[in-house]
Amino acid sequence: MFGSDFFMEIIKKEFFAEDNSILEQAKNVPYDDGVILRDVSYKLKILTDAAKYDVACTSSGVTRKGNGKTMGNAAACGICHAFAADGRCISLLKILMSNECVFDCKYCINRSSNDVPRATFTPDEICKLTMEFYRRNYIEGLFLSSGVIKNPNYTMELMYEVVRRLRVDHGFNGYIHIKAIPGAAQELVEAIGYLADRMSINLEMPTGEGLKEMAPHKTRNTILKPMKQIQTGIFNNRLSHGITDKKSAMQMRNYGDDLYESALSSKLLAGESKVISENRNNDFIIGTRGKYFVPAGQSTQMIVGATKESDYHIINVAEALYKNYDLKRVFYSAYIPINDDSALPALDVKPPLLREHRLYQADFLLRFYGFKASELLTEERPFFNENIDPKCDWAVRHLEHFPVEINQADIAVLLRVPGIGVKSARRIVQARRLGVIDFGDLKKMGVVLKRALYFITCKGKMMYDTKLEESYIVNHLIYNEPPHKAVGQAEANYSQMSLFDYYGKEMYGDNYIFDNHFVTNSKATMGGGV
Amino acid sequence: MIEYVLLHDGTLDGIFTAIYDGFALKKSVYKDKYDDNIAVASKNNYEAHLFCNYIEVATDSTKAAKTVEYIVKKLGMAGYDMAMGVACHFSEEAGEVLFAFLVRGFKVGKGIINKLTDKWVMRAFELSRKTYNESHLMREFIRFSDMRGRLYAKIEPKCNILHMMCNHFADRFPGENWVIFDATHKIAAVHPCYKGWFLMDDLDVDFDRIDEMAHDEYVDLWKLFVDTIAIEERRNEKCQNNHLPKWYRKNMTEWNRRE
Repeated sequence: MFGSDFFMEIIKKEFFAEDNSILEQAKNVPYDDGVILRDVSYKLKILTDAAKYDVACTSSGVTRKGNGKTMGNAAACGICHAFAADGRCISLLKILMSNECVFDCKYCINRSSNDVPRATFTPDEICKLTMEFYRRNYIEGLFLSSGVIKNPNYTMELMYEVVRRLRVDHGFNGYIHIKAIPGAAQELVEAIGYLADRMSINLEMPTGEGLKEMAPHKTRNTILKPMKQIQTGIFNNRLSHGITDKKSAMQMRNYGDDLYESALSSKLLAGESKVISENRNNDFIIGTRGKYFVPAGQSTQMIVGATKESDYHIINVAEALYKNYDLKRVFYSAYIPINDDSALPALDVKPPLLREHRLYQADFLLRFYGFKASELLTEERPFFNENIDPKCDWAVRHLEHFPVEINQADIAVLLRVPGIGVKSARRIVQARRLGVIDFGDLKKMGVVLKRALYFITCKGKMMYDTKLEESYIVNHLIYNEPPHKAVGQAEANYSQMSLFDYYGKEMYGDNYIFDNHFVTNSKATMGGGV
Repeated sequence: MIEYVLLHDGTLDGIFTAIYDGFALKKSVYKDKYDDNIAVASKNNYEAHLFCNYIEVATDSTKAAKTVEYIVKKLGMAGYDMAMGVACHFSEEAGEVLFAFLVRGFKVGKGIINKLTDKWVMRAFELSRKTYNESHLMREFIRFSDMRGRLYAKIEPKCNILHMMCNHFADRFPGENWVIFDATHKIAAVHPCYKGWFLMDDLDVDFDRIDEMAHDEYVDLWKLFVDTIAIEERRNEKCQNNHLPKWYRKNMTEWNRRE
C-alpha cells in the first residue's frame, strides 16, 4: 500500500519473525524500572484507595489537538477508558499525591486522627505513572488531589511541581484535573490554573453550618474564595481569547507550542513568582495570549447524607453554584460511613445511592433541560420522590402542559417531556422539517416511549388509550405496566358520574382528586384521536 | 424487490467501486422506473436469492475515489460520514441500505441525514450509529502493550472501524511506533513515529506469539489501580456491565491478563 518499504520490513521482522532470537531477547531484557516499580506499586495501592471517594473522573470540556511532537490530546466529549466494579467510569488516573493530612475532617478516611498507612508520591513517580498509563491508552490524564502535608501552600507547591514537570518536562498534552486545597495562596492557584485543564474545590457540605461541624479546619470562606478566583480567571481568560460564553467547551491550541518550546514561558511558570507578581493586574494576569486558564472549567462536590440537609437545600445550592460561580459540574457523593464518630451516621448505615441518583437527575435537568430548582422541589416538599425520577415527577404534577404534539411543539417544551432527551429532541426538530413523525420513528430516534407515551401525541393521536391523570400515570410508571389498549381498540372508559364521585372531594379531602375517574378521559381531551 | 446485487471484495475501495457500478447500472437498466432494485454486498458475506442477478465487481480505486468525491459533493461531510458508517457496518443488509440511502441522498442533497421519517434513511442512521458507537467504544477500550518501546494492540471489532480510530491515535501518540491489529478483518494499522499511519491487509498473525513477547510491568500496576479504585459499598456489576459490555473485554489487559 502506501507505506515506506523500509518500515514494512521492520514491522515484519518485529511482529512476524521466524527465528526465536527476538523472543528470547524480549524476555531477557531486564526492566530498567523494576525496583522503582515495586515501591510505586505499594504507594499506588494506598493512594488510590485514599482517592477513591473523590467523585469526579470526567475528562471533558476541552478539545485540544495533538501538537505533533509530544504525547497527548484532549476531546471535549471526554473519554472513559474503564469501568470499576462499582460501575463508575475510570477516565483519569485518580490518585492522591499524599494521604498525610494535618486536617481532621470527620467524614474523611485520611483525617489526621485516623490510623491508616500513609504514603507520598514523589513528583517524578506521578509523572512516570501518568505517562506510561497514558501511552497504553489506560487513561485520559491525571486527576491529582492530596491530603494536606504540613500546610496548604506546601502541598499546593508540590502539586504545582507535578503538573509543571508533566507539562513542561514531559510535554504532556493530555487532560489534567487538579483539586485545589482550601486555604492555599492565590498565586499557587493561579500558577496551576495555567497548566491544568480543570480545577475543583470541594464544597463538601451544602451549608456552612454543616461544614463547620464536620471539617473544623475548613471554612466556607477558604472554599468559596478560590472558587471565585478561578471563576474570574476563567472569565477573563475566555474573554482574552474572544469567547464571551462562560461555559462552552473550549477549543484550544495545545500547551506544547507555548510551554515545551518557549523558554520564556517555562521560566515564568517554573515558579518565579517575582515575574508573576510583576505582571499582576488586580487579581490576575489578564489577556495572556496563547495561554489558557482552566480551559475545561471548574467543578465541585458535595457529600450527601452525612448531615441533615434536604434535597431542596442541596439542589438550590447547586443552582446557585451554576449561576454565581459558572461551575461546569457539581458532583454529589453519597456518604459512605468509614469513620466512627458521634457526629456522623452510624457505621452500618447504607450509602444513600438512590438519593444521590435522583440528585444527579435533577442536576441534569437544571443544566440541560431548562428547569429551575424551585420547579422541582419546594420547602414543603423538600425531598425527591424515590419511586419516579424528578422529570416524571414534575410532569405528573403539571399535567396542564400535556399532552405535547411532537410535530409542532417547541424544543423547550419537548425537553420537558419525560423520555425525551437532548439528543432525541434535536433529532425530532430536524426530522419533522422533512416529514411527519409517528411513534415508530420516535422509538428509533431514541425516545424512551415507555415514559413518553403518557405525555405526547403524534399527528393528534396518543399512542395508547391512556388517561391523563396523575395517579394513573404514576402507577404505570412505577410498576412499569404496559398500557395494552391501543387507541381505537379500547373500550370507551367513560365512567358513570355518581353522586359519590361528586361529593368525594369534600368527603375525602384534596387527595381524593388523584383518584377520580370521571375528570379526564384521554380521548375526549386529546382532540378526538379516535 | 432486489434484482441486481453487486459483489465486492469487502474492502472500502471495493464497496465504493460497487456503488459506482451500481449507479451506472441503475442508469442503463432502470432509467426512471427505479424502485430499490439494486444492492451491493460483500462476496464473503451474502446469501444468494432466487431471481436475483449477481455481478462481481473488480475493485478499482479510481472509481472508488470518484464515488467518494461525488458523495461528499452531494451530501456534504456529514452525509459522507453517515454513508461511511453504513459501509463499514458488518451486517449483510448494510449494502442494500447504503445503496438506497445514496439513491435518496443524491436526490435530496445535504438535508438527507435529517430525513429520518424515510425508512431507508432511518435504517442507514441506525447502522451508522452502531458503527460509530463501536468505533468510539473501541477507542476507549483498546489497550496497547509495550514491546520494548513499541506499542501494539489487538482488537476484534464487528464493524470495520480500524481506519476510523487511527487519526485519533496518530494525533495522540505522534512519537510512538504503534501497530493495531484487527483480528476480525485481518488488517493492521501501522504508525511509524513522527510519520503518517497506513493500513496493511491480508495479514496472518500469530497472536499467541506476540502475547508471549509482550512483557509489560505496567499491566500489573494498572490492574492494581482498577481493582483499588472501586468502592466496595457501591459495588454494582450490572452498571459495570452496562457501560463495559463483556464482549469488549476479551482484549483488554485488565480483564485478560496472563498470569
